[in-house]
Amino acid sequence: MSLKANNHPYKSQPSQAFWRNTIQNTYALDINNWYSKKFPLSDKRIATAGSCFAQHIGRELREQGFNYLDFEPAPEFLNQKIWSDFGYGMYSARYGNVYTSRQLLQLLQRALGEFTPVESVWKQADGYVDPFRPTIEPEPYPTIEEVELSRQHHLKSVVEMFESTDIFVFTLGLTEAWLSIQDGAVYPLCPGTAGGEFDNSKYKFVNLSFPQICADMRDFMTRARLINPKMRFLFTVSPVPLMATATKQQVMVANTYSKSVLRAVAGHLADTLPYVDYFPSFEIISTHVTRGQFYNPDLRTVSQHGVKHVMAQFFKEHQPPKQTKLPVKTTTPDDDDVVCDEELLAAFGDE
Amino acid sequence: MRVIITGDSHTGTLKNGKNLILQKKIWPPEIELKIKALGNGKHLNTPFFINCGDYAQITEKLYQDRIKRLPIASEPDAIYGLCAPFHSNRIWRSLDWTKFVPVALAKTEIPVSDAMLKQIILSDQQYVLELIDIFIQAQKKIFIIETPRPFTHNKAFEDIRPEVILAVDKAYRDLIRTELVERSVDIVSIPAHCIAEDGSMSSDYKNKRKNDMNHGNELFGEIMLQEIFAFLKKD
Repeated sequence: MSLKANNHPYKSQPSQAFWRNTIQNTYALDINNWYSKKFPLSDKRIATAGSCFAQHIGRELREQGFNYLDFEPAPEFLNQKIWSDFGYGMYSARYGNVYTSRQLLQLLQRALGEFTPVESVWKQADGYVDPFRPTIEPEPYPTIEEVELSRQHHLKSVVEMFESTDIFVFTLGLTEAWLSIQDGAVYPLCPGTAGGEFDNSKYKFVNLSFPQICADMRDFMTRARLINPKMRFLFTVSPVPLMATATKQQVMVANTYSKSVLRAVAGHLADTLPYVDYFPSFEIISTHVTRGQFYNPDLRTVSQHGVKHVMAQFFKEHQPPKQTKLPVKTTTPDDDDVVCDEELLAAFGDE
Repeated sequence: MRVIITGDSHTGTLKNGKNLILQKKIWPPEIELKIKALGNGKHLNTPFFINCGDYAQITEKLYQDRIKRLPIASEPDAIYGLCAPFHSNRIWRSLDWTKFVPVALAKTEIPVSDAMLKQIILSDQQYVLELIDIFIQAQKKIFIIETPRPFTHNKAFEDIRPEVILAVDKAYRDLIRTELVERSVDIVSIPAHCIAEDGSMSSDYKNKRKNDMNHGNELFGEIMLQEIFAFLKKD
């Protein structure tokens, strides 16, 4: 038997497959080949949802000139500085953070009228909030009717969004969720934290498993593609750790479990479905190879520097559309502004 | 009693009213009143000054030519009247009110909650309210002069439901009034006879210039000055 080195599969692997070449001998910021796209985004209509990290992705896509959809844009008279206080400009509709696969699935089901949760409002202070986006406004609505009215418009916008989206970008954030024992409705936040009142007989905690999340995501994609058969999906996993766990585990241990499951689901779906891609923002930000440098001092939230670095890796594969130089916008003063100048001139002349 | 009135373009209406009163020779001799505009109200929702503690250093170029700082350095003992906090026109004239409406009026439009409307208004007036706080901090006497309600011949009424414009204007005035009351700042309000039943301005006070659907006429200026005189005498 020959002791000569045999040919084996690693021999034909590219350089990026080897730790020493790709990681060990490379400066953290120079690590390359994080991602290879499965399909182009270029001129596609893109919508986003998910855990809070998805906000950064949406903003960067918009700023880079991608065809980013916003079906609930802020009114022009709302100061941009407070858009996010009212859930504007965060995602492609005002659903707030969608942390779990079940929440995403039920959002679509609620929008399509296929699921109407029994509990439709939560009491909060002197008013009411929508249990499915309890912090979408900084103050509770004064009446139940206002919650309903706002939700009706919102869910109509969600349907329009899914009808128009070519690429749906979703950031998986959590496995832990609170749901209604009565009908399985999943809430983004634990009842009692931002509205409602916690009651053990009404709500229960669930830590969604790999098979459950896979099933939710498949169900979601099937329903979304019934509306829009050409829709494709780009998944990421949020690198933002759990703020708190409802399990008995220490928060970092619970976080590792949660993110591992989500990462495995995203990878599995991307490996098995031609219309699903996975972008590893989670690995770029949170693994030890980047030495935690992309986190803020709380070691939880991601710094702007981290977001820029992640998106730079993304844009290596998805080149931003060539932005045609728009003609310089000449501002036409509003008639009422013009008459203000006239009034001043008439009254004060050159004073 | 030395009084300085300053603020947005509605100070022009007061100046015209002043001229009318002087022509009629009915000016109260005990009141020495100077009207000095800052300028067009379109800049009042921007950071138009630097807060220097007991005075505001005006930084908006278009205002600087008229007033360098408030309170004015050379007028330490004057009472100040300010036309600015009721400039609701900046908000209600937006054509986005054809898509969005205050929640109570929503039919098929997008509802704007009371909380959002409140923030829209406070955001629009944040710098003016800060300016008023500077006067309070500096222990200078200041009162606020209400500026006209919407005139229904304003072209915004052609595109936006009138009840929407009037509801936004009312919410604006009510909230600002609350803010001023909390600061114990007096308001010289528009007298009831100048206001139509629906809350708009009476057309009797339309500006003479046909294209001006925003400012009152000189008669309105005179009426408001008479209200100011009454307030000053009472005070």
